[in-house]
Amino acid sequence: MNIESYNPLACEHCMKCMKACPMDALHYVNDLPLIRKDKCIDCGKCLHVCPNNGFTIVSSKLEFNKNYKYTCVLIPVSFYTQFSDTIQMRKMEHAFHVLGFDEVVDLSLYNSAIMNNAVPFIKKYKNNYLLSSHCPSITKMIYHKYPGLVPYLIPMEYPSELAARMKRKAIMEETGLKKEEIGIFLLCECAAKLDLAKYPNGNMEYEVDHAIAVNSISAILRKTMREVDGSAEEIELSKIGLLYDVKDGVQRMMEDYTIINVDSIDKATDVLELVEFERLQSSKYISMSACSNGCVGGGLLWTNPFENRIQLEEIYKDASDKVLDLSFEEVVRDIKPMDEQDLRKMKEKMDWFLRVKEIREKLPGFDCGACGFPNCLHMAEEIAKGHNQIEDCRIKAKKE
Amino acid sequence: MTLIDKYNVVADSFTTAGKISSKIKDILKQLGVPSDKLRKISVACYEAEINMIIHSDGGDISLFIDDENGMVYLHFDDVGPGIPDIEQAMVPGWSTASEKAREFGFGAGMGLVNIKRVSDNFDITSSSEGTHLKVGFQL
Repeated sequence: MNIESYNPLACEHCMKCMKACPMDALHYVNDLPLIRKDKCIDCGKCLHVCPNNGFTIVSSKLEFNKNYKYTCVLIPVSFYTQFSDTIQMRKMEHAFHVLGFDEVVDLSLYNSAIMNNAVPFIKKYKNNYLLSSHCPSITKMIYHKYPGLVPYLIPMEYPSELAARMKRKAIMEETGLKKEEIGIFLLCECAAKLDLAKYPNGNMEYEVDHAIAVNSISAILRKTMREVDGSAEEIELSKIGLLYDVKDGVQRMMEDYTIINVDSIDKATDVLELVEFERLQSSKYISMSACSNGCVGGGLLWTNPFENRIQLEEIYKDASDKVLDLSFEEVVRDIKPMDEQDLRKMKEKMDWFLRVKEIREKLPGFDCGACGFPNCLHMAEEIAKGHNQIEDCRIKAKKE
Repeated sequence: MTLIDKYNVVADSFTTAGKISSKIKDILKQLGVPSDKLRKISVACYEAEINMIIHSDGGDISLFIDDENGMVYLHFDDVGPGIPDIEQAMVPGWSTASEKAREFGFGAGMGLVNIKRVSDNFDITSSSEGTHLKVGFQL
């Protein structure tokens, strides 16, 4: 989880965050919103609906690059859309050098390797459905809410992982440095991608060392950009790689193939429901992003999804046809299967369900949220657990 | 055998078709039904719910669980014209769905066929008063 709980001074108790949460992961404790780690998928909805910007993002820090002998920063395609022209992009890359990074790595190249392998994989795929796995938020939602669909996830690596793995290896060979002397930093355009690194969250299985939220460095980056000219930098983005960060990118590479493209958690939920009922017949591949227009709509970016998308099209015109040519084995990701639940526990779960149902029927069903929980069902569960009492329902209290 | 939940189906509610099946699917997920079985039950439930919406005047869907024998049962009890010839209705592609139902993309004549295909127990009785369909799934 990368969205921190709330600044008490900012909260007006409007409950917009609680109502917006697609996972019911947020409830109020002592009149302040609290996010449950085990349920949060980092979609960032709470963050964006809050009228007072009360939530904070957990991010690693740029200064940690001083702890390494050699450092790289990985720049996602969506971040390039924040700059009006190549001169600004060059200045941005130059600024990262000034801020202490030895290498500025453009992720479009690594995106291209994945796109290039994904297209033939989708074409050859024989089973029922294939779901995109590039959006960590959607992937987490599938694990939580649609565990039966996990085997349908396309086994493609995150570009940041691919880049980190290849870069580290190359640097070790070139410089003779040890693994831990090289620091790989990833710039993140959304809350979910902050999870794809060892820090800030201690996800030690990732090759990326630090994930940095774009919004946390805007002041220092802009200041540094004013002091540099960027003339020594070379920008050569990959066309195919750019497509990775827009919602219909894969579609544009496979025009003769029907793909369903969705770009919000709500729409993804609708589609996944249909997939579970096997009601989707026109398409096999479903590409899903949590953010509007795909990664270019990342919630931590400086500008809005719509103009970012337009800017990406501008960049696309001048981008090159270069592609990183890797084999499928090099870009594959292990999709961890879900553990099947123990059927012997079914009786226990049934009893629990019936108990919650019985309490739920006693509650008014307004889902008003005044008790601090997003809906009456949630409150019923809390009562069944013994954490709350039925008298804690505000509507009931008012009537009595 | 325990009754877990019971839902009312309203005839001709095409636009909300599948809502009840969604609820039943969520409950079964919560109870830890394995995903391959869940998919079969969901498909059967959805087809039967649609059948009730299209052909009947409304009815109930009940979810039962027999945890001792590891069985999930769905009962679909409707009031309506019934199925005059069940054997005919079990022929793939045979459909008496209305023009309106077909406009909504239903009525391909695979409903009962699919339900029977995915279920382990299949029992259907029908009269001019209504239809009772009982399907069971071994977990």
